[in-house]
Amino acid sequence: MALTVSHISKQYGDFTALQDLSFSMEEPGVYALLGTNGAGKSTTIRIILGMLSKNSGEVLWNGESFSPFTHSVGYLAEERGLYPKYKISEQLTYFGELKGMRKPDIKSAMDYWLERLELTEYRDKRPEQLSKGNQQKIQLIIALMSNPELLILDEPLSGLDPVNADLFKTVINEEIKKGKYIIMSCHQMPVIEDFCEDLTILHHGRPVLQGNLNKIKKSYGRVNLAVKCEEDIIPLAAQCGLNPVENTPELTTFRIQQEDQAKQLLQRAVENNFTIIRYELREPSLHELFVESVKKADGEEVVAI
Amino acid sequence: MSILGWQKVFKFTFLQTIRSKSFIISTIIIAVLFLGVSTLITFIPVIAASETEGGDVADLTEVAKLDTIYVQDTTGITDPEGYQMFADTFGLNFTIANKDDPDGTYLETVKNGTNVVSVNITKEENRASINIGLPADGSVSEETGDTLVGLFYESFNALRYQFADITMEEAENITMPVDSSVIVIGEDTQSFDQMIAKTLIGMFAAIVLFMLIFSYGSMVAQSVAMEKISRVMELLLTSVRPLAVIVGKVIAMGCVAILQVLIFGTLALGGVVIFTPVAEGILAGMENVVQDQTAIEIMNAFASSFSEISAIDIILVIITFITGFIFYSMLAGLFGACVSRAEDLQSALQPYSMIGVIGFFLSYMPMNMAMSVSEGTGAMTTQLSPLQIFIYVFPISSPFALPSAMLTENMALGLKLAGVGILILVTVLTTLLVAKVYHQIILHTGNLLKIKDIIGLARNNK
Repeated sequence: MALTVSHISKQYGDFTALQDLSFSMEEPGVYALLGTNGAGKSTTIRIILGMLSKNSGEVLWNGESFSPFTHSVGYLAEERGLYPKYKISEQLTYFGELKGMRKPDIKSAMDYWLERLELTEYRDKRPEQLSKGNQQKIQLIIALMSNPELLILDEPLSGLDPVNADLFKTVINEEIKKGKYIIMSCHQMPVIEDFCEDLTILHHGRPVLQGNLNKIKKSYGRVNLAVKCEEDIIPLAAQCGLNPVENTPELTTFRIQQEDQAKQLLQRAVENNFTIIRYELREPSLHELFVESVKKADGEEVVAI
Repeated sequence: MSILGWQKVFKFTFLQTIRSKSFIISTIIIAVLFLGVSTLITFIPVIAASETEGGDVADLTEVAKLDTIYVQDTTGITDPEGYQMFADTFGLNFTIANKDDPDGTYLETVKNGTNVVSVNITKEENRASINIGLPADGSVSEETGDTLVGLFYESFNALRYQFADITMEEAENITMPVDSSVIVIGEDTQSFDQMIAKTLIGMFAAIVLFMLIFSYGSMVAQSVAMEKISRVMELLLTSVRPLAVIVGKVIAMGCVAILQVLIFGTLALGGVVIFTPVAEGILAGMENVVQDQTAIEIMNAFASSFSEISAIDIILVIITFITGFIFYSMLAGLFGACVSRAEDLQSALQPYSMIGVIGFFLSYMPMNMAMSVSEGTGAMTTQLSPLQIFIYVFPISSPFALPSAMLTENMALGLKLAGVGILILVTVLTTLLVAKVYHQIILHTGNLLKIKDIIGLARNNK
């Protein structure tokens, strides 16, 4: 077991920013830390990184107290920060030195990552001369150049164009293959589904859903039925006791209680000579799980997934 | 709290600061000013001397060319006939109007004449006046008139002493100025010139110290604030503790300040060393040099103001400067860390600016008090007032006031140590406060933190 976050809580006066959060990463891979705005994701990350003190709990690395000053950790913050007027190469050298890297290692890491992220031509430029996407790449280099065991990526893909987003995903996949432990916070659920195995969804400082994503999905079962026909499927579905939860020109989605309901609808559509373009019975998406968990925590009426 | 890693922050901050355009430009401008001022000081004796070089001789030649000098002395405290002796000495053509033209028709002669002048010496109440009249045709220059004023001033003085039957030496004894002072027996006294010199040294030192301590403290604040605003701080804090960041910055800015002082000092000293022989050479080559005694006396007073500096004084001055710098920089860093938005920077630094300005004005008070004592009573005392002592031990003013006072005043060692000790104590307390709240403040975003918020954080963080 590498990283263990055990019962951490954080209070600001009467306000509870984080309450009794625990999770662990037993194997290298990506752990997703999700939540609504102000749910406590940044507080959790700052506590892990030692920037914030905690009221209770502990953060362990291989069973010993974790400190970013003694353990190797890379951090890509949600709010990007670079010195606008200093050269890229000088900043990378500075942050490398702060991580305890030696000059030759800094140089080779800088050369490698600038080339890998297609930024070699900008090494003597200042951040104010770079696009936002390229500044973000520099931030990623700062997080990766010391070859840390633990990577914390807070919204790594926000603001990136599709080409650069793909580049970032490729780099993250490479890091996973290298055996890195990655904590990722992201509001783009498909990205999380691409990478992560385990997750915690936070809401108002409390974990509202935790565990292995595949197991969570399986526990809900295949409850989503997505259908696309040339004809209007909704009246036919009503005869089977199904009401659409989402209806777009592209797709009509139903939530089913039992898989027999889906089979019945398919049978009737065939009998009525409907032209079926798409018929899919699937588990709930992470997006749906997220929304349901949050609503449930708020005590709102939740449509069963 | 650990400050591990402060050296890396120090190195980066120091190198980036001295490479910045603003540092290079300001250093060059101020260095040129220092070089210019130091050079000017070495040339003061030459400038003071050259104004009178050979002038008397040339003008007396012109005076000798005058056809007639009509002299009328109606003061009654001289024998007008005595002026003839001066006429003979300098080969001038005098007409004593008291005797030859008692009705004053000579004035009309001078007005319409050519190459003639009138000298009218009168007395009203307790003042005598010497008035030189020149002809309307411009045949006699005003410079020649000025020379005659000087000549008749000396002549009139000599004649009135002679008339009163006293020698010049006796007259000087009677009219010599009297300096007065109130002293504690056993302590040294100081002359008026020395006091002027010490006041000027104190003012200059206070300005330089204020510029160094306050300005570089402000730079620490701006640097901290900009790192926080640009979110670089969050990245830094994954590698070093917040206190290490501010310690690294404070020491870096302190070294930048010392580097500038060394550059300015070297240039100023270099200017003196290089140009003093040049100035002496110019002086040696001059003829008929008349030195300005006042300038020489003030320069001597400047030199003597520093004559009793001990090694302990120098050590205490250095400690005061470093401690004062740390005190102000820590405060600046604290206030700079309260900012989350660039537009809040000025208002966040207002309390820091207020403290600095109060300290600076307080540091001027001892000098003003010394001046007012002198102007008011003529007495010069070396005894410090309770307010002066307060200013020397008050940590807000002592970094600006204490160093020059230690070098120029006859302060008791106990008072010096008290001033330095209190400053060190308050600086340590300030650093502990900063250490206590800084890691919370530096990550705060949103509204600008007020002083009461900082105090609240310190209390909650016990």
